Amino acid sequence: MREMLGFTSILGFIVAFLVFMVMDPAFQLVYICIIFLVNLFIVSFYGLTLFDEKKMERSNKLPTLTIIVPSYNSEKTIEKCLRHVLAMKYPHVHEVVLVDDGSTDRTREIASQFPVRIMHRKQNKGKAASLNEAIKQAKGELVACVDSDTYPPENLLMDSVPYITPGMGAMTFYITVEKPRTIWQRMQQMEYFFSFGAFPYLGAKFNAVLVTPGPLTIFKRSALEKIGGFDENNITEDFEMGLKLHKSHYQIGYLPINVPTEVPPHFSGLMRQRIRWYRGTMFNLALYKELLFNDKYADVGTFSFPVTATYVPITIVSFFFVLARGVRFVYESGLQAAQFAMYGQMPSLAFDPLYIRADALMFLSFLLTYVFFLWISLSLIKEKIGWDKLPGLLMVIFVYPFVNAGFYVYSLYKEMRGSDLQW
Amino acid sequence: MVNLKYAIAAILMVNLFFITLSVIDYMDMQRLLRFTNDLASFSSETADLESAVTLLRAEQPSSEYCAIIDTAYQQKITKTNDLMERMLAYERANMFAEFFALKRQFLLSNIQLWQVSQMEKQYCATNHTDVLYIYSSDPACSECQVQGKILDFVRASCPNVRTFVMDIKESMATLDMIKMKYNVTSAPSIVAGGKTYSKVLPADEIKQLVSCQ
Repeated sequence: MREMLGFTSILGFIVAFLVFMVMDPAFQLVYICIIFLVNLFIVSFYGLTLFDEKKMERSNKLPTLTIIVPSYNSEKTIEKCLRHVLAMKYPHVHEVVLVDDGSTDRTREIASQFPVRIMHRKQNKGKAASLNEAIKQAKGELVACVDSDTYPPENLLMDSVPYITPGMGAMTFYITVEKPRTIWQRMQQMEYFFSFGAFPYLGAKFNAVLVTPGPLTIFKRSALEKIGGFDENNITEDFEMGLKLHKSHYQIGYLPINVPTEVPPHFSGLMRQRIRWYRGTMFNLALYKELLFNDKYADVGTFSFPVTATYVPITIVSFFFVLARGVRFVYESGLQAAQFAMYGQMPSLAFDPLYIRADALMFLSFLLTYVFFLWISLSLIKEKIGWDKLPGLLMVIFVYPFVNAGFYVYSLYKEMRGSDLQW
Repeated sequence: MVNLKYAIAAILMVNLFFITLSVIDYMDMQRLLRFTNDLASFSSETADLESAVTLLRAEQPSSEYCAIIDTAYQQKITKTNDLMERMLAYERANMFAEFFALKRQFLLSNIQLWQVSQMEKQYCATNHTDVLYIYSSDPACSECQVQGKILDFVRASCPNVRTFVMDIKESMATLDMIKMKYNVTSAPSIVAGGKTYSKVLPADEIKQLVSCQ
């Protein structure tokens, strides 16, 4: 049965590709217009909230807090992580718990040099299970879950805990990339600026942050206990957690506090990570489909969740659109170049600004909104815009959309096929 | 007032969409305007040469008169291929504005110019050769673009060559008759010296064909 579904999805991909191959330019334009309109609506909606002035309430209470660091084979980053975690200033840290999820490397040995409680699990059971076990034993009113490759800043707790209101289930932060070196990391740096910058910042104004990012989130223990902790069978437990909190009518807060984390340095690692994310997205979208256009959940039900849900098919279909256009372009220009070469002629390279086509203009206006949101994202954490960001920016504009859409397509295939989920 | 937000966002979306559309429309209009201008001067030159040849017919043909016409052709004829290329690119880029009427006018002027050039031969002892190039506006016709470039190259090196263009897909009485007369069925084709060549002709072959000087 699963084999059949996998086969059907491949068939669907081929049909989509062929349809876009032979599509009339007029229909292409219709497709582009639809995508353009959807984007304009989302951008308008987010743009409007720019002017919403929502005052953050600050309380003087500083409840007790437990910090949980789940780790698995993280000898390379654990030392720096724990140093940052222990340097965080907060008067009521109950304890710092390191859950060693059956590591086979020196993680435990390194961690034992720090004043943290080590919870050792012989068998590797995954991040969600580690967190759940630690949460069960946690005494603090708040629980901060910090990944073992994340380096929270010193003042994070003092700056964020006072803003956790009674209605909130979790507080999320601006996750950024720690010292990008490779081109893929530079690309992810720019991408993180968007996905953890302007969008959740604006989204929090109408309580529509959907994800509680894995690298660092502060939860209320009472909320976690009420909803039953993390789903141990879920591949993206952070997205599931966000949806579950919304389903129980908890709010998710957001503060633009810069929290650097390590990201995959190479393409293969990035691909593995993204396939996991996107399979999780698809799986959880289906799991929580009752949120879709359900006004019981306010803007989450009518905006954030539908937007996420619309983006998956749009990304997948657009992948084949771009692929088909690209193949045709390469084929036609290759044929022409061959013809020109055969007869020893040079194609005219004269450029006339009036040659710019309608779809290119739409792409250009889309690019402008992209830059606008990037600018908001960067200004949130006072990040400087320098030439060193240019390679990442070029990658995120010209390479990322296509590569990312490819990951979505592959994820859909794997999800349909029902391949084994891997962390 | 949750729904008001959505209404405002929708209004904003429609407005932004129309702003983009009006930029596209503006570009369309610019293309149309520019091409209309070029075409107007091209048509007036055609009419000029047409009346010059008519005048030549009425007068006693003399080599001085013929020289005037030859010079005029040499100066003006270089535009045809360039105009055609631009027209094709504009037509592809346009979203709203129709190029249909302008295209037909351009093609008709071209044919008139070709006929006048042939007529001139009856009265003047000129050594020019008329080359009618039949192209296809289909972007998939990569040979058409090569042939256009080759003709440009030939014309630049041979001053006695006059090139004219015709669209194979366009259906007009004059064009249809020419297509039938010269048995043109595919693009690119070249009609020169009363003969039809239905393939891409390299520069050397054309030069031989037109006895390049």
